[in-house]
Amino acid sequence: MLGFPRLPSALDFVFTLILRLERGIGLAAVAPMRSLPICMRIISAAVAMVVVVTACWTETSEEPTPPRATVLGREATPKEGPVVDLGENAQLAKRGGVLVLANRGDPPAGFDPMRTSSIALHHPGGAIFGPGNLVTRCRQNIYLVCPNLATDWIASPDFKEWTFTLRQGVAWHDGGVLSADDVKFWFEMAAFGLVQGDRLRAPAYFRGDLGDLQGIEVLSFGQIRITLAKPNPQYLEVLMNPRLKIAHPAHLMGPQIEDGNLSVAPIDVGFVGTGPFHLSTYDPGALIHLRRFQDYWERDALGESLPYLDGIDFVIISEPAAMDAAFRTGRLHGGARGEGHYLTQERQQGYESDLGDEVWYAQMQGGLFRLGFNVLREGPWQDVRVRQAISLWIDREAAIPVAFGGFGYLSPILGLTNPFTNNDFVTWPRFNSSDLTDRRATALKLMDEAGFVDGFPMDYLCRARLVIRCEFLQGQLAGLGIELEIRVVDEAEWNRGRLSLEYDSQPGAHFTSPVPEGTESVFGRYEKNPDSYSKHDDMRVDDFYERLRGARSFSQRVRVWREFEQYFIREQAYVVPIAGSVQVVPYRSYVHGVIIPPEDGHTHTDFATVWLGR
Amino acid sequence: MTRYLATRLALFVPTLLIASVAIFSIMRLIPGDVADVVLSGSGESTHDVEQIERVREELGLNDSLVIQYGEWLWSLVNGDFGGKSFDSREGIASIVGRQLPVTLLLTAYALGVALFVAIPLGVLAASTQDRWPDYLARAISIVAQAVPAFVLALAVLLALLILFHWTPPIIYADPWDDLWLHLRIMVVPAMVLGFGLSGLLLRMTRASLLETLGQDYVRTARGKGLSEQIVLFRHALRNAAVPVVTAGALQAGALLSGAVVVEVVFGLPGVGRGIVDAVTSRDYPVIQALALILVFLVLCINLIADTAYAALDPRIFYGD
Repeated sequence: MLGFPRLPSALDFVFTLILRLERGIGLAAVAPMRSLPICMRIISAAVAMVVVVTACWTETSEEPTPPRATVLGREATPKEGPVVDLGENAQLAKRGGVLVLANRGDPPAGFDPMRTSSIALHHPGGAIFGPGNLVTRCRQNIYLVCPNLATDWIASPDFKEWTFTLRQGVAWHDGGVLSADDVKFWFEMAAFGLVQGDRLRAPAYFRGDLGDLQGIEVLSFGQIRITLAKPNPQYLEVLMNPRLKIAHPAHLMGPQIEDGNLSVAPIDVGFVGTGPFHLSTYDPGALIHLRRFQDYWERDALGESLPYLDGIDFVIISEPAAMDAAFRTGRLHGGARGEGHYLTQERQQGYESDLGDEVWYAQMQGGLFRLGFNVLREGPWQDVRVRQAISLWIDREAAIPVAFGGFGYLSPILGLTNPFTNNDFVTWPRFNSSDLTDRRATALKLMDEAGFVDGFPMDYLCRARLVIRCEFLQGQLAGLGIELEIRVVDEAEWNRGRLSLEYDSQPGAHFTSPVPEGTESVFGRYEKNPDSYSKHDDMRVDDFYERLRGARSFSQRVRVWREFEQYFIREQAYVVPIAGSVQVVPYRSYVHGVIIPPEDGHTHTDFATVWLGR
Repeated sequence: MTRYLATRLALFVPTLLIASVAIFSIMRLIPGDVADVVLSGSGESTHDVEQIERVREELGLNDSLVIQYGEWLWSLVNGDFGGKSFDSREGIASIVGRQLPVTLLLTAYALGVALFVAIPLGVLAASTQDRWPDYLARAISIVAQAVPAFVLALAVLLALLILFHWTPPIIYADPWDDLWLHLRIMVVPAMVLGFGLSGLLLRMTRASLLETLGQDYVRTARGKGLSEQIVLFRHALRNAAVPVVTAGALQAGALLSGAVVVEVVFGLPGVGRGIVDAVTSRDYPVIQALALILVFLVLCINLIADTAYAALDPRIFYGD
């Protein structure tokens, strides 16, 4: 046998442990132990100590502090980064450089915005296809409509006919020029889909938002008229949704459709768009490589062409921890957008400890976490007193540190900065956090009156990605005697289950339109809106939406909407809003000009105004 | 031997056929499909049943299962290799051609790491039985087998970040494009994956070598005055390698499943990550193709292992 020194009996314990572990996992038979010289004991002990200390060492030696809650109040404004106002500071912008951003996955559906609203597509999609449709959300105020591919528009007195004048000189990345035929092609495909023999192409998922289109007429090369079956004074607010991107060049897709490829997508035609960047190369699973489009139409305040950057590299990183590691070691200039990749307080602390003020953090209001009841399914929740009791019982502020990683806000339905949101909601009995004890006493009383003082079981459709929120809710409702059975499902089943009546309650889809008229799909009656948060058949809700659509002034719309909030959230408690996430995205300090919307991370992802300070 | 190999290769066909039916059926049993996933965009939009039905119609998901299976099987045979991804619309052949080399390289590197760690340590452990190097080697093998790949991968990633302020490059490069970049990307994932496999191989090497070293012919070799190194490496190790090859082949499936996790954590665009993404989005053509490929790989590895027996041990003979 090869000769080796011996260890002293003081380390016999270690070897005994090893041997017992081996026995425990059914390994080979154990031989008698032997001892080794003192020098080897010392070396081995030192090695063991180093291993233990390294394993236990963390970035700081301080005791971990409990996460603190960060609640955006009405006065809070989202961070916009070092320099944003292009009007005055455009002269500071430097040209050149390639921005490196993380993207949470490969853009699905062949990069087709008609098929999916995934942020994995819209994060790079804004740069390729532009920030929106004929109109877009204004950079300075996302609640206002600004020109985009159209520069002018006029509506008929009955708001059924909308005539748009297209912007001159908007070029496709392959050199073609955007025309009214392109716009007509897009609207028809989005609203009606395609049928060719026994083949078909489904319309866009947002076809309901486009309204009941009666006709799309090309008046000239640069003018188009859209005719609706029903009046819609807020049609521009529909079109300014950044998800409605025109990414379908007729001169490229038309021939493919004629050849029988009805499912043609941007990936089939070279990703040709009208955005500030064109797609140079795409390595699936790895990288989306965009480069500056020289003929982009937009100019800054000084009349200089945009974009400022030479290009953007979107690196596909599906694991948030890997993204954090890459950012903190200097491989990224900005983080990814999307649930799971937005920072929690704990993760942000890691960034701050490594990078200090070399990073700034964009904050946007994300979707609300809520409890929507299926009142079409038999159960105690059909009683409005039970729903009101649940709403009174939940400690909303507690959700922020527990379920949102410390970044959250309270709001009834729409975002805090949304002009439609009711200013008084913080004093509503079910939102007023100062009297939790009184609220809970009232809740118990209501449960007693309803005959459920001992509680009841109820299930909850829980998205696997957001289990922590479901567990928070389960813990809260336990105090009321309600046994909440969390039914954890993956993305596909969550998407299917949301539309079904198989669950007692659910959180609902993530996104709510910031335009009140666009929320009918999530608050309306189940019969017309199967993806509604609460499954109900309350005809009064239909009346509210009719009145909203019929409103002729902004103040009238606000009034009707606030009445609806009071009815739906307070009186009927069909949906119990709990808290909203604040979405935090890190950027390096030398990344300037990023327009951060107060809500909806799909907005302003064209990055045309971004420049690098070094 | 030729006849044996031909028979084994012929058996691939029914095995793959059975696997294809199983894969096809299992995916259809799971609730939800690609229409549900893609349309809703991860919950960032609402949709309705009619929309979903029209997308299903467009993708052929409303056809009978027999027709869907038959069409898929035909596409495998006629070179279409499953058609196109429902989700990304990329051709399956293109997806496989892109992802498979990454996984094969990763598993090859991991196997190399595993053998590089396991064989020397196994020999060391066997030759110093019941002394501290033996205990140390066995402790390493316990850790290697006990720690799950995903825990190890994340721990290594975070340790690199915290201790060295370094992470592997984040944009994958093929070895024929940029060899140095490729190696820098792959070294850490290969070590993580290989470490997990090395535990079992180390134990098998040690146990097999201990048994071999107790054989009469080894005693004879020592009696003839041969050095310990010659006895160990020229006589004992070769015979001890047979069960190690068996164990290694049996671990092929585990290695490929570990590759799934490692690829996700380190962002490698391989088959493992591709399958995870495809299952999440219920992308049936991609799942079916990639799963079938993994089955095929395991079959090939087992065949290679069986063939290697004959090369290692002249007593083993296949055929008449």
